[in-house]
Parts: sequence; C-alpha cells; structure tokens
Amino acid sequence: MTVKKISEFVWTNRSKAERCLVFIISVYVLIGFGLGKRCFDVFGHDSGDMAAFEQMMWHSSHGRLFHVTGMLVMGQHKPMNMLAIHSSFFWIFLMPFYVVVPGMGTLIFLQSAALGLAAVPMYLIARWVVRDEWAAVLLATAFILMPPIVSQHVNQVEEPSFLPVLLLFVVYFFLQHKFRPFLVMALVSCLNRENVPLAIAMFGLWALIERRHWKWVIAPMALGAAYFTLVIYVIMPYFRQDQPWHVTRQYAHLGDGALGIVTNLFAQPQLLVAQLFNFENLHYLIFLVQPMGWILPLVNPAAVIALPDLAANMLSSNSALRVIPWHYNLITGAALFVSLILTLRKVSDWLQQRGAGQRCAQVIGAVFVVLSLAHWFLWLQPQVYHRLPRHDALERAITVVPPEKSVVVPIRLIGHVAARESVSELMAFQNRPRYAAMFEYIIVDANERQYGPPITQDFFDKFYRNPTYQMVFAEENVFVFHRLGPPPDWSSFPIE
Amino acid sequence: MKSVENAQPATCHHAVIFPLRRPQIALILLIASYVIVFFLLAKRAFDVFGGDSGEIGAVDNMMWWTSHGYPYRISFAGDLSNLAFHADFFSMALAPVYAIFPSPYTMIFLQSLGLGLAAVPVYLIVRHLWQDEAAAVLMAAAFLFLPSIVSGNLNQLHFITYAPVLLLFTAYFFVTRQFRKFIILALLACSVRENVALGIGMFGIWAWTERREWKWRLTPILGGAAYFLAATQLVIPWALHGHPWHLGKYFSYLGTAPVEIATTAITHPGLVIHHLLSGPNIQYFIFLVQPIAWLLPFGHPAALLALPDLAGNLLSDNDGLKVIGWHYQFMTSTGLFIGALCTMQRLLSRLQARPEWKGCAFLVAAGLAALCMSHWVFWWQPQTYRRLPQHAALVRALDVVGPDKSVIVPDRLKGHVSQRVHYDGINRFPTQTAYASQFEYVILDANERRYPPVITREFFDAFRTNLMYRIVFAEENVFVFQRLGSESDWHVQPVGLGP
Repeated sequence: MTVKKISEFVWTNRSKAERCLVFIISVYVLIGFGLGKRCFDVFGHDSGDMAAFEQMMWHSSHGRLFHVTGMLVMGQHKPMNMLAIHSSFFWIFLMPFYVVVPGMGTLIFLQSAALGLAAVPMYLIARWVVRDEWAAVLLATAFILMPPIVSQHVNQVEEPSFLPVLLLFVVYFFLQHKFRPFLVMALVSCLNRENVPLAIAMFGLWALIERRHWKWVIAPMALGAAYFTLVIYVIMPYFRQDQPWHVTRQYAHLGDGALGIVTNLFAQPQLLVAQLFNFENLHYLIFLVQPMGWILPLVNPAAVIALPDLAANMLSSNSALRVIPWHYNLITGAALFVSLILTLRKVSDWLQQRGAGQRCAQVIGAVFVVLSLAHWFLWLQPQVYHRLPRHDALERAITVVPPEKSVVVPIRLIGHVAARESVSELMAFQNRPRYAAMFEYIIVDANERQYGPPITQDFFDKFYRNPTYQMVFAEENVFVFHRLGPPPDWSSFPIE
Repeated sequence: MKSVENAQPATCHHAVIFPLRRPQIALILLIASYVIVFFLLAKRAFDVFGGDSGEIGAVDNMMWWTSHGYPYRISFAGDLSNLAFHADFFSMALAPVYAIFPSPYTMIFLQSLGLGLAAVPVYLIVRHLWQDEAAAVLMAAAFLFLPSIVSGNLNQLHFITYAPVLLLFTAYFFVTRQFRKFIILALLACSVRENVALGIGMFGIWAWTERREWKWRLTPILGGAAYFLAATQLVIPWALHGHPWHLGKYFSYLGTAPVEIATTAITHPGLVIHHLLSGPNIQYFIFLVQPIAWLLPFGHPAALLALPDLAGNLLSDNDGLKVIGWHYQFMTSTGLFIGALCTMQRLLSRLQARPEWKGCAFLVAAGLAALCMSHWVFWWQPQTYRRLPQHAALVRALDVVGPDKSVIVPDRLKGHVSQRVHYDGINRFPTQTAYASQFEYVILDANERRYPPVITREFFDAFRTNLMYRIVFAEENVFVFQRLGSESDWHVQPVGLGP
C-alpha cells in the first residue's frame, strides 16, 4: 500500500466528520503518549508493571518467549513465565514493533495508539446506531475521554489497554450481523487476557435476548467457554508449574475454589450480597457509570458484556480492581459505553417523535464529551509530571549500573532498567531476601516516601555496613551498592 | 421541550385545582424535595456531631441574643457584635421566625429553604431567555446542584446562603427590564453581606455593554459603590471599635490595610500575577467553572457579576476562600451561572431558528444538570452522617450542664450549647487561658482526633489534677469538669475575632 493510498484511506476519501475524528485521534494519541512518556521519564510513579512487560519483550526478542524475572507474585517460589500470570498471547503482535524500536517509549506509544484507535470502531458503532456522523464523532471522542479509557495513557503499560479497539470491532460486527468477522475478532480479543472470553460469551446472551439465529447464541458462548477453560485449566497451570495463581486468592473469602464459590452462592447468598453492596462497591459503580449518565448504560442488553468483569471487580477482595484509573475497567467501560449508545438511539427516537430536530443527537454527543472530560480528576495527577528534586541523581545512579548486570531498584526506577537479563524491585529484600541477595547491584533511594520498603537506618546499614557490598555511588540520598563476589547463578532459585 | 408560547396547562387532576403547568408542578416538587432532603441531611450531620458546628453556634447564638433584645450580639466575641464581621442586615428579617421557633433547626431549615427557592428565579430567567419551560426546570435543578450551592445546605449556617435567591431575582428583573423591582431586590441582596454590593455594581457594566438607558447603567454602579463604602467604611468600623477587620489578613502578601494592599498590587503587578497563577488558584478556578462547562459563563457580560468575589478569592492568600464546598462561592457561582445562561441563550437563539436543532435547549439543560450533579464528590461526605462511637456519651455530657451555665466545649458541640449567655470552644484554653478559665463547665472529648486542641495527658491533667475543677461526668473518654468557686465576673474578654 503506497503512501498515497494510505493518505486517501485515512484523509482524502473521508467526510468532514471523519477527518475531524482522524484529527482528534491524532491529537489524543500525541497528548496521551506525551503524558505517559513524561510521567515515566520523571520517575513519576511505580513502573513495576511497565518493567515486567518490557522485560518480557526484551527476553522474547532474545528468543525466550514471555520470559520474565522481575515479577514477584505472592506465593511464587520459582521464576515465572508471563503466561503463568495472564494468558496475554496478544503481546506477540507487538513484538515486531519492539524489535525494530526497542525501549519503553515504543510500548507507551503503542498503548496510546491503541487507545486512540478505539475511537474508530466506536465511531462506526455510533454512526450505525444514531445515524449521524457528527454525533458519532462526538460519542467516539467521549468514549476515549472516559476515565477508564483515557487514564490508561498514564497508568503504566498494560495489555488490557489494547483490548477496547478489538472488542469494539467485535461489537461492530455483531451489530452488523457479520458472523465471520465477528468470530475472527472475538478470537483475536480472547488472546488479550484470560478474562476476555467471558465477555465474548456474553455476546451469546445478548443474541439470545435479541432472539437472533442460534449460531449467534451458541458460537460466542462455545468459543468463550472453550477458550476460558483452555487457558485457565490447561495453559496457565502448565506455566505456573504448581505455583498458586494470585487471582484465586482474591476470591477466597467467597469460598474454596470455583466450586466452593458457586456452592456458597446458593448456600450463603448473604456473603455475596454483603460483598456486592458494600460502600466501596457502590462508590466504584457510581464513578464507573457517572460519565455515561448513571443508569443510561444499564438499560440495554449490551450491558451484559460488562457483567463478568463487573462481577469480578465487585466480588474481589482486592480493592485495586475497583480503582477506576487502573487497568481493570476497560471491558466494563467499553461495554457500558456501547450499551449507552444503544440506549441513546431510543432516547433520540423518542425525542424526535416529540418534535425534536434531527441534530439533537449531536447535542447529546457533546453532553457526553463534556461529562467525560469533567471527570479528569479521577485520573490526572499533576504531581506525577513534576521532576523529583533528586531526578538527576537517580539518572546518574542508573548509568552507574552496567546494562548487562542484574540490579535491584526502587519501584519508580524498575521500568528504566528492565531491558536486561535480571531485575527486581527493592521490596524483594523484604519478601525474598535470599533471592534479592543474588543481585549484583542495588540502587537505594532514601528520599522515597510513597513506595516501600521504608529506607530505615537498619535497611540502609544492610548494605552500607555489609562487607559483601561496596558503595559505588552516593548523591542526594541516592545510593548504588555493588555486591562483591561471583556473579549470580540464576539456575538455583532459592526457596523462601 | 415545550416552548412557552405553546405551553398548555397540565391535563392532570392537579391542574383543575392549581392553574399550574406540568413544568411548574415539577419545579415545586423539585424545590420541596430538595429543601426536605437537604434539611434532613444537615439536621442529621448536626445531631450526630458530624463536624465542626462553630458557625451553627455563632448564628444560633446571635439569633438567640437578638430574640432577647440584643441584636447582632454574640457571646464569644467580647464587646464586638456580629456587624464587626459582616454587614449582614438581612439576618434581622429572619429574627421573627427564630423568635417563634428558637432553635438551630429553624435556621438550618430556613437556609435550605433559601437555597431551594433560588430555583424559582433560575426557572423564570431560563424560561424568559430560552423560551423552554422544561429546560427551565432542568436548569433550576442544575443550579440547585451546583457544588458550591448545594454544599451551602451542609456547611453549617451562613447568612450569605440567602444571596443567590436575591441576586437571581435581581438578575431576573434586570433581564426583563423591570427597573423598580430590580432596585428593590438589589437593595435586599446588598443587605445580605457587604461584598454583594460589588456584585450589584456589576449590573451597571452589564447594562453599559447592552447600551441600556442611563438609569440602568448608573444606578447599580453608584448604588453598589455607595452601599459598599457605607458598609465597609462606616458600619463595620463602627462595630469594630478600633479593632482591625479580619479581612485585612486575607491578602497578607500585599499588605494589611486596604490602601497598602491596593498600592502594592498596582506597584508590584508581578506579585499579583505570580499569586494568580499559583497551583491552588488554578485548581480552584477549574473546579469552580467546570460544573458550568468551563468557558460557557464567559461568553456574556453577565459573568461580571461574579468578578468582585472571584477576584477577591483568587487574590487572597487565605486558601479557605478557594474551597468550593465552603461559603465563599455564592456570589461567584451565581454570577457565573447567570453568565452561562445568557451565553447559552445566544447560542440557542442561533441554533433553534433551524428546525433540525429544535428541542436542543432541553438536551443542553439536561446535560448541564447531569454535569452539576456529577460533581457530588465536592460536597458529599458520608462519614459526616454517621454516629460517632461516643455519641451517647456526648449527649449525656451535654445534659449534665445546666442550660443557664457558662460552658466551654469541643468544636463539634458548639452548636448544641449556643443558646446561652456564655459559651465558647475548648481551643480557647491553650490560647487564652485566663478567659477560658472563667467558664463554669468544661466538656472534654478525649476521642477527638480531627479538631484542635490535641487532648494530651498534660491537657487533661490541667483539669483532672487541678483543685479548681471537679470531674462530674466521665464516660467513654468524654468528661465534664465543673469549676469550683464563685460566679465569674467576666472581666477578661476574648481576644481576636471569630469563633
């Protein structure tokens, strides 16, 4: 495809509204990428997940697919493959980009691009539903500005950020009654993470409510169930090698395993009800649906796609799943927004029957853009874009460590040193001291107040007064210690 | 979506009894439910000692003194009356109601009623400007749920909460060009507080931009300026008896006296600009305008009504003035809201002329109402409505103190003991011990973690091991101490203004 053809496809052959959307997506991607990159560059917050994914890409590009060393999950006692934690085969598609331009900037940009491109299928859905191009542009814009979506630019790098663009194409083909593209996109979506097939299965329920042909009911349910069973009970256990899956721990309060939870559903329904309707869940649900007009996204059958993730988030004992700007609300956000658009069609029809003009849909679109934008306070934290007072010292400390050496660093820094064989975060000295002691370099930032471990005198002296360590850098309370002695033998992972 | 011209009376049964159209019935239901719900919420917060009740105590105490023949007197300010703080003459209009029902609940209800009734002029303005009754009701709801307005119900008691309803009626008579009614309402609005007069003066500039008759231009400007000068240069200084006005401390980086502040601001504009562009100011400004769609208020000169208070809040180095949920935004948000209504009228008049945009006023109003309501995070604090673990002990401790006895209490309890000659907050002990020692009773809540003073062992022992006091109540870390000895002669007066 030549540049001319690309330019015709993207711009020349587009209507004014579509060109406007292209412009909005471009600006959105650039600003989102700029914010994400800036936050990373100034060590604005935890970069642990970024490090895990960059390390996985680095190992994959060196021939060890999905290999990571830096991930520390509760109960883990051996190095884990990324597939042991999440069945995110989708990263394979991004590897060519990383191989060509290795670095965290590539991953941040790809994430921002994927988030921006989610506006395309949302535009197609909205245009088909509300039959107004400008209204569709506004609704697509509102979608990518919704807190669960826009926040992902600045919330590290996570694979769910790449899902909305895929899932929304699944919805689009579902609405268009295009069965084969629907199935293909559904399968590609499933590759994103193990929870996606549950959302895909819900398309069957939606089809059932709409009384569609049986193939629309059976196919997504069968695909979703089969894929989910395969990854949960076959693939991921294979990579975990008898180690526990951290997710099961989050539902232990509801019962012992999946069977126990289902049994309790009937035997002790009060357990479930108490968990679902606690204050924290209500707070989460209100913030999730508020930019979409509260009940508007809940009154269309399309909302069932959000149901598995919504239930998982609300039933979990891990409150992180209910944090709107984290990466647990991309399926819920996308599905509920689709449901909103389908509801708006009815609202728009109702208004037009009562004499409203044809362009009222555009006003509705504008209202949702404003509502989405107004919730910026849920995800924009200006302080994460300010340089830390010891920024230069941190940068110099990183350069002290040779790129091929293993290193333990504060969690703010881990994303900056992840493209190497072995890396871990400073908390390892608390959770797995014998494992942490194998690393050759330790960076300690005694200015840190937000993330653990607390740098006490005792903690500092573990290195400072330890003859096996030599201090090789000390500036502005940032220190680098070099472990003396032989290089680590990573084949003997200490059991702790 | 019915335009005013096409509007018909409702066909429901109510219409037979009351000649009201459906939107008007909806408006009445909105106001009634708003007043009841927010009165109950505020009452609940007060009853469960949900937060500081110092301002509730101050208002209740002033009304109590007024109903006993001492207008504006307040117990905790020594020889100063409430007029030394603010020229709020409007409070006297509420005194007859308080005299009949002497209780803080009366004032809480009147406050919610005053805020709820602000929906009426909003409805009238929007109906007049947008020609859409349903949209008018939705915009009335939007105004009532503006964070800075709705929070007025729950942020203790302040007379400035009556400013919006009066200012909005003033604006209504201004847009409908009813000069006499405009003047009367403007005067009434001025009587709420001295700063309202500056907002009233802005109507003159608005009239100037519309090239109205001279009376519309000059009367508000001259009247507002005259009232402001009279209030701030005559009434308040008279009531202050030579004490400095507390507002002088609000611009400390520019100076303390008005002339010094103005001179520094003019001669050192960099200082002002640097302060204006500070982080807290930017955040305050965004949060203030966001529920009214950011730039929307600024498309019309009506937004000028907000300018004096907005400038004051932005220029002040008292960060309390930049808290959206506190009582410093009634003029700013009302003025900006009127600006938004007028800007929208300009946009709608262009759009609604075309059939394809018909009915969009209703949608705009619905969107703005949703936007305002979605900012509940600014004012809704669920913990304020939960009973404290020591609630029952606090109630019993209050019962121990006779209604005619002087008492010093924690901040949460001030509003519950304010109907008496002498009461004050326990924070007076560390700062003005001689004055505080005159009180006969001291209630001490050692569970308190939010409000000063910190109840340390030393602070507690200052009463427990003091032979001048005896403990008369001790439950769940709540204590009542009675001072032994004769009645105080109250020769030591409190120093400094404010509760």
